[in-house]
Amino acid sequence: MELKDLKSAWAAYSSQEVDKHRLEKENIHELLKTRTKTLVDRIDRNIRIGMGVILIFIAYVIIDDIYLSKLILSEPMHYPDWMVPMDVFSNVIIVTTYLFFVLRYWRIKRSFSPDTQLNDLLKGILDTLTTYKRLFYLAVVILLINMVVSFAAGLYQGVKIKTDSLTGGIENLTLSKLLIVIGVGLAFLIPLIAGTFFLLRWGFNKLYGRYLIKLNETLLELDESGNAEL
Amino acid sequence: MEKEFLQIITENQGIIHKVCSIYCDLEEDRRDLFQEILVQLWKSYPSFRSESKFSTWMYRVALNTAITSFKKEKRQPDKTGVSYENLQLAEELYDSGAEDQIKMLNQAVSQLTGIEKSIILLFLEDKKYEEIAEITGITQNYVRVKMNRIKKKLKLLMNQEE
Repeated sequence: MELKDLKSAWAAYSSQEVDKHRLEKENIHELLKTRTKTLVDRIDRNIRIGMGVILIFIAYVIIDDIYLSKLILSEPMHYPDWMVPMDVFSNVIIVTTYLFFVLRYWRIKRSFSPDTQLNDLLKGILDTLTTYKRLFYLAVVILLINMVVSFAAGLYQGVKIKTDSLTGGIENLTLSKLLIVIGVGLAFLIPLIAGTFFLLRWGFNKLYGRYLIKLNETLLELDESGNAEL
Repeated sequence: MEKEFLQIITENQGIIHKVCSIYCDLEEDRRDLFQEILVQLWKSYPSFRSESKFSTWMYRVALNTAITSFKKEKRQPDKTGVSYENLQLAEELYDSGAEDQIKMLNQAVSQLTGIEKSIILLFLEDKKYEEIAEITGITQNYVRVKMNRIKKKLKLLMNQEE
């Protein structure tokens, strides 16, 4: 059968389909009023919620560092000198990355519209999803950094209290014992961090992985147009 | 603006129904996609300028939405072929020749990619390459290349069915 024969068959079929599903103005108005969110709308909403949550979390971490811990603890905690720049550095990185994402998100939003060319639309959705993915990883990294710093501080404090009472101070701890303490600490910390990271990554891919693959495939198919021109 | 929008959509709703019909098999998916397209049209309506025809703009938004929503693939052609609903309609409306053509077309189209579906829909709607290029945003040359590939693919798929 020739394709041109299909045109007439399609014309008859599609006009019957249109008649069958035709809606009145009131029905269309009703559909508009009861609109549901599309996947991209939901991702967009999640990004904004995510940014809010991360902002609150960052504010909490900074307030906790500067004010809360001093207020709660009766005696000030003693940290080794190397831990202070590590803490400050991680906070600076987190805040800078967060600001970068907020700016990037608004830039994408400004150039995003459903009536642009498909190529631009696909890139816009991919950018939004990539931003969401990175924002998600930022949240994971913030959580992990916080876990590492808190774990290191807790471990140090614990060892210090124990050694103060037993050997007269952490300075008197032998190298082998110090290595054992670090080893045991890492043995707890590494699986905990890796487990948290992979669990969260798996969750993200489960939710959006397939959509990302489909978007990339479609974009790749469109990009072939450039090659076909050559 | 809402009144004007509703009026113009009511008059041109056939475009949305045709897009839904090519991309969705199940009534439920079809209703969802119709609503999604409607919402996207409403959102982008303020930015519509009469630089292009309204139908061109409407096709673009509708196809963009359908392609990026990645509704469940049309059911892969099984032994019975086209979906029950479409088959029933075909039985009511057409002679057995037309019914076979629709059945084969549905089965073959279900195996095309989202972009290919958009091009074949516009082809079936008798759009010129120039307009297909304007709607899909790909060059006329590539539309020709793509159309040739789709024709070959469809012929092959439909011959398998025959």
